[in-house]
Amino acid sequence: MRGSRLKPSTSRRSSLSLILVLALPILLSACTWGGNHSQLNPASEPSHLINRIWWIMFWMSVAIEGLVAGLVVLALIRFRRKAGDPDPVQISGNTRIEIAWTIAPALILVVLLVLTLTTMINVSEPAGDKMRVTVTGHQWWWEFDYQGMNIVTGNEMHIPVNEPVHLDLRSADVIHSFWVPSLQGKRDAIPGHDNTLWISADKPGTYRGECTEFCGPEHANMNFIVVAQPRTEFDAWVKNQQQPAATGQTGLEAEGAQTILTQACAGCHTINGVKGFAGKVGPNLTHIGSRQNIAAGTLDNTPANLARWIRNPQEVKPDNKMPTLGLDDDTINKIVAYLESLK
Amino acid sequence: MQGAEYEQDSETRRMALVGTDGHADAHGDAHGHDEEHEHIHIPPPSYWPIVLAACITVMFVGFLSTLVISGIGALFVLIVMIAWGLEGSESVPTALSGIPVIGGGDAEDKLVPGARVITSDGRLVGRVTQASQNSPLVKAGWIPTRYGYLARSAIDHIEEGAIILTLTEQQVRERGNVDTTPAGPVTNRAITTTERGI
Amino acid sequence: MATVTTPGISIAPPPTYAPGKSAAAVIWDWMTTVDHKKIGVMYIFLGIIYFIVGGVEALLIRAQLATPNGKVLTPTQYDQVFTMHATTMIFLFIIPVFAGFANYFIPLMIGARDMAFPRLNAFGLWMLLFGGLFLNSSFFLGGAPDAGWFAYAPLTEPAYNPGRSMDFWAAGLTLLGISSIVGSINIIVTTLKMRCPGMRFNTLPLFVWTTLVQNFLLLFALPSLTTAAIFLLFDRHLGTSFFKAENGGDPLLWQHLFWAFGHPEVYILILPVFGIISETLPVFSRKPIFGYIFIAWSSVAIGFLSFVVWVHHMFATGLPDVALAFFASSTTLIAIPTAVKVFNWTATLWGGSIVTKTPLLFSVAFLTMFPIGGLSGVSLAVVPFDWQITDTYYVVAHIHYVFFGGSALGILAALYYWFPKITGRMMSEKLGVWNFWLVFIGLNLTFFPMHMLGLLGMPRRQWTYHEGLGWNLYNFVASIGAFTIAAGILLLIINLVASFRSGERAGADPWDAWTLEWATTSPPPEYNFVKTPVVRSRRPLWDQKHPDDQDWMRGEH
Repeated sequence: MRGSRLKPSTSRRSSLSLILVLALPILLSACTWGGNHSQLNPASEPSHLINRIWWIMFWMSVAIEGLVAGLVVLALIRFRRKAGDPDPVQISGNTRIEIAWTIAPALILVVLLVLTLTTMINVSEPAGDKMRVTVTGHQWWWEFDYQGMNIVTGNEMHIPVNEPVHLDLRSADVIHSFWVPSLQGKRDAIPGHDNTLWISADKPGTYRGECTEFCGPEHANMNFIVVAQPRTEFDAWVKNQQQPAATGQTGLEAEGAQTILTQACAGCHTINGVKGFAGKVGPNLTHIGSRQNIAAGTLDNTPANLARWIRNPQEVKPDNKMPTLGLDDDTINKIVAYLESLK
Repeated sequence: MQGAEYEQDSETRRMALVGTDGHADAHGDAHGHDEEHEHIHIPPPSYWPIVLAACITVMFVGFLSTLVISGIGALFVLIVMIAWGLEGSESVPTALSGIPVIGGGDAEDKLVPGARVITSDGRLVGRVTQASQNSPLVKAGWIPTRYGYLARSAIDHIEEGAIILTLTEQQVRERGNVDTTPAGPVTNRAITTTERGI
Repeated sequence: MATVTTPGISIAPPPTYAPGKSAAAVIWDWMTTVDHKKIGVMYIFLGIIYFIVGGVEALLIRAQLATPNGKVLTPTQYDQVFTMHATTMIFLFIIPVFAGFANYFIPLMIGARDMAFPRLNAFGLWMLLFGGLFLNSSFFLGGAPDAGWFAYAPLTEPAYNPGRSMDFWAAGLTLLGISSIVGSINIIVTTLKMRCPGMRFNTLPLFVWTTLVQNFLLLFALPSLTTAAIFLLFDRHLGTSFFKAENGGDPLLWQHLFWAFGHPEVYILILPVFGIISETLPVFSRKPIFGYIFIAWSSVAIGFLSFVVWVHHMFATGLPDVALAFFASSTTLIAIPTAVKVFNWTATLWGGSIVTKTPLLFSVAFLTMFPIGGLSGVSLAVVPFDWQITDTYYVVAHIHYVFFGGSALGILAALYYWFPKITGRMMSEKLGVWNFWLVFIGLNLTFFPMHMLGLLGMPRRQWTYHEGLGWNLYNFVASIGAFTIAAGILLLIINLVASFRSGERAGADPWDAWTLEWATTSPPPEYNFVKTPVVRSRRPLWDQKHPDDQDWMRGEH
């Protein structure tokens, strides 16, 4: 036989590869399904439907990959060449089998396509009146403007449980994408376009959302939360949000109310009810004391974190648009006290 | 089947059974359909590709710095493209053997690649690029470049690094500087082929 | 060394890369060569260099993401690294290496002496070199491109991206596009017009088939990218507003133009591998490819279909449902020809007499890993599911299973298979096996967890991630995997260098293969074949070695 290179090698590699190919998916998938930021933890009808398709496709893929990999590994074991083996039968095809394995995947894919199209219809926005929120993506935070309700807030959206909410997605600069995995698929916010999305939660909770279109250096830190509340709690929240900023502070908080007016904050931020505080670059701070996170989900909202943020925003979220103002600790403490009082 | 050979034209449509002597009708082009006992033509090297690539890159560098550089680059791109087009593409027979000696004899008679080719009235025609037993290949000129084969009959004698022709410059021009096919085979006899198969 | 005394093959002349000339003469020779083999070698060499560059960029990414709140890279550094990682791997590794193998082997496989346009061939190579240097020089000249390899507007507009880095990107890709376009013209004309007698289309080796389709794709897809890049340069420097919404332009125009190129591009990056596998699997199973016609023509089908699926990269952009439904259908359709091939390749192995050398190991790994990428790709065609996992690490897993588990494994198979032909020496089988296992295990460790990360909500293109999201372990494992791959590639480099210098001498036909490149010496002489071959079937050397059992006698082509 020509070709002295064809001496077969010996090793257990075929069985090892079999184990790897089959075990890896099982091993790595048998873990937690994620908290409030995972589509595998659905909390709304659309995401339940999508989650169901996922599992169908997952098991289908396991079966197909298992079949292919299994046959390949089996072939490696069963048909390995040993010294002195004759040439195998020189088959070069079988039209019937090939037609069969063209039609079979085609049928499976047709089923998948039908599932796709029906699900698209089933997750489309329900008709009827609903609350509408204009969502504007900024580099690198989210603005939520409750249409007709005089509420503008940042990075934290409250919605009533079990009621669909219509979102109008806008961008102030580059393309962003609004995604709350537990509640709904994502939709891009594209300058010049008026994309829409709808969300609804079927149980109360806090659901994490992320920007999912690369929008610059701090794309990683452009997170937000959607808080779903029972109707009564939601109404209370609305009422509170519609109030202008809290007044009547005392002590350190009052000093902060004065100090903040002497700093550059008003150039970028708005505090309703405070004269001259109407900047539009950064999030609205009217009720910042009541928010769970700051800096678009980068830090939990605690006095210590807020102080850290104001002291050096560039250290917390490098390249974001809030400059480091070089304030001394005394000033910072006063401002933090004031802001935390804005519940 | 044994010994039979098929010949196809370049459109690969017509096929005709050819006799067992392995020859086919002569083709005029250099598409690589080679017949036995003839020369193997391969394309000659050229520096225009790398020069053109450099000029285009300079042009783009100019887009990122000053357009003056782009302008100069564009000018050179134009010139180089024309030079490329005018470059002769006579294919070069492969140097399959060592350097042959014209008509036998001593090493001083060696036909060396790089040797100058000079007419009988002292004008430089070009330089030898490929030595061959019977018809060395001469490269003349820069823009445009031309190649031509030198018939043995045109060689008067060989001096140190120079080949003196029997022809004057006028006669070289009249003959068109070209004998387009070398007289006789260029292949090295040590390379064997067989009658059949690949 | 056993000399294969197949009749018709000339006794070896000195190898093409023989020493004995001065260094300057050798450099001049390589700089002015128009020999498709030397050009092919240079393409492959450059491709491997850039594979390492892109690999280092990948290691930087994985080092940064190994832990939450990593401090290896700043955000702007990270953005440059991930942009250049993708750009380098796609345009400076995969495409050049394929161009190299195509250049080297297509003339040999079709029995020609060189390509149709030898100088154009060299020109394409030098454009690649200068384009790659141009692009990478940006690191030292104000910053590399940092808006992603996909460079979505308006992030690339001057308002959000002052400086020159995106100009480097647009101009650099245009230079590289010129290289690819001239290469594709050359390959198409060569394949159509310079086949040796007897080589009809249905007799072409499958590597030639798939490379031919790939080059048609390059020819028709690259103009879209070039147009987009030029429009971007105009927006950035001439005050136009193609992509500026505030002046009546549309950011989505960029996406359409880019993905009209980008989607055919991914088939450009995989089709030659389909051909490579269709060469190695038969040789190492000792029987012909199963279903040549299906594989050849399904590649053509993929070529055509690849132009009508691009919107599946844009499912979340708010296009009307009718459009999404159309593209969901076309994307689902294109999965069929690919699936068919996987079954054909499996059937090639089945019933064979399998020789488990390194080229086969990589081929089999491709056959089992590429379908994982293919299956995740099919799931991405399901629009509502895509709405959930697009732009997450699930997509990163998908693309790396097809790019690494597909293209890169195929390239490694090709390297091990054709190295003996190119250099005349065998690669070390021992190092090859180690190379294989490190790469195979590393590939799965790196990219499998990314499926989970996407499902658990981790978006892509993020310079860091937070604690407490359940992403830590998967990211850490992925980073371990990346360094494992690096170890495997290090062994590959060692194997290449050591084997080139002192590997065992290979004959003309060390694998006992059947296509024409094995019908001449290793390495081939400058003129490839002493006499132009005449073929009668897809396996001319099989016919020659088995005169009583030639393929065409059995009615096979």
